[in-house]
Amino acid sequence: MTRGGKKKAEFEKIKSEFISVASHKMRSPLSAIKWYAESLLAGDAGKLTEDQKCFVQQIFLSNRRLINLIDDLLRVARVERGAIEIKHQKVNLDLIVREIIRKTKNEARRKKIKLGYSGGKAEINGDADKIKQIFFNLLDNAIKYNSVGGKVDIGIAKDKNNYLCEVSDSGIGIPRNEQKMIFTKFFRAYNIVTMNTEGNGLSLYLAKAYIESHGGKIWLESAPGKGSRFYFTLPIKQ
Amino acid sequence: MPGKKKILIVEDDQFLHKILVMKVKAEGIEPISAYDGESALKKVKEMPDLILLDLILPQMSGFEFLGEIRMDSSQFKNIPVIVLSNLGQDEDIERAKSLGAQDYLIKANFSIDEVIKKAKEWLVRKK
Repeated sequence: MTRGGKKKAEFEKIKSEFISVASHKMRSPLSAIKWYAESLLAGDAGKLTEDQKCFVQQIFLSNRRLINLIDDLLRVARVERGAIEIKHQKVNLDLIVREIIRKTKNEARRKKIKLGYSGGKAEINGDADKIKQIFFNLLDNAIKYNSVGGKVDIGIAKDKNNYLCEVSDSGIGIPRNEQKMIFTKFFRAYNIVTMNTEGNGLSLYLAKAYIESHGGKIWLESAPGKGSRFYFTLPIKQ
Repeated sequence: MPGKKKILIVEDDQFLHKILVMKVKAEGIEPISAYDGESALKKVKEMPDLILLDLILPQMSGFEFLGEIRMDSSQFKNIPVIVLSNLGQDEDIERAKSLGAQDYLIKANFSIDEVIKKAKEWLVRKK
């Protein structure tokens, strides 16, 4: 490694460690805000007026965004440190997808989005938590960047050595000249500013990192106004 | 009060500690407070029915406290422990469980009511 390369690696390591320490330290006060907001909404300090309830709900939701951002930053820091550990477990993709669908169905229902899934028992050797994160990130995005009344489909199909997974949506799509950047940290395509959505631009970066750590690949097909189809492979055996 | 359950709350963050105490009391359970590992070792002599334990603590970490009370010779070794921490790495969870924690909750991922519900479940199990 060149001297410049060594310095850069050292800088990345310090940056990554800083993010980990700062994120851990931030989680305590964020937990306190979360619990007090929940307690207020539960009426533990007396009945709230409708306006007060609304204000506290905003505090709670903004706080949740911050907690999610910190969780993602910690994951990114581990990716950048090269500290992703992939567990070797028997993982049933079908059960994972059904679990993630259950987790996201309230938000889908709120936006009247139809969730479709075609797949059956699909077993691989991999890391269950990371695979759940992959599906969650893709499905969460598919719902978030979709219009009311839209559609999201998930599919799993087997080929010789891999399972090919697909998450497609009828949402806003990604402009062609931005598709290469979509997997980079903090990148959000310019057309999402037309939607009132929250996002920190890390979910696809993390999904890609976890897929590649399993020996898989991710790619997409998309066009503005025509939705997106994310495809990824997961090897059956690592 | 005879028959009243006791929970030892080991948490150094004063705001988190205060709300845990409030919620535990609201359930008719007696809270015992400790803000660091060393005072937790003193307070555990009151023989709580359950311990809610943070891991990053001044004086002595939650891991060290857990190691102490789980020694074979310890009279406290059978008191159930729920770890309440914002450390969320697999190795932290495995380390806490291998040291004898019954459960591990990441504070930022659980509501306060979910934490209290888990505590009550363990109190019933201990019976």
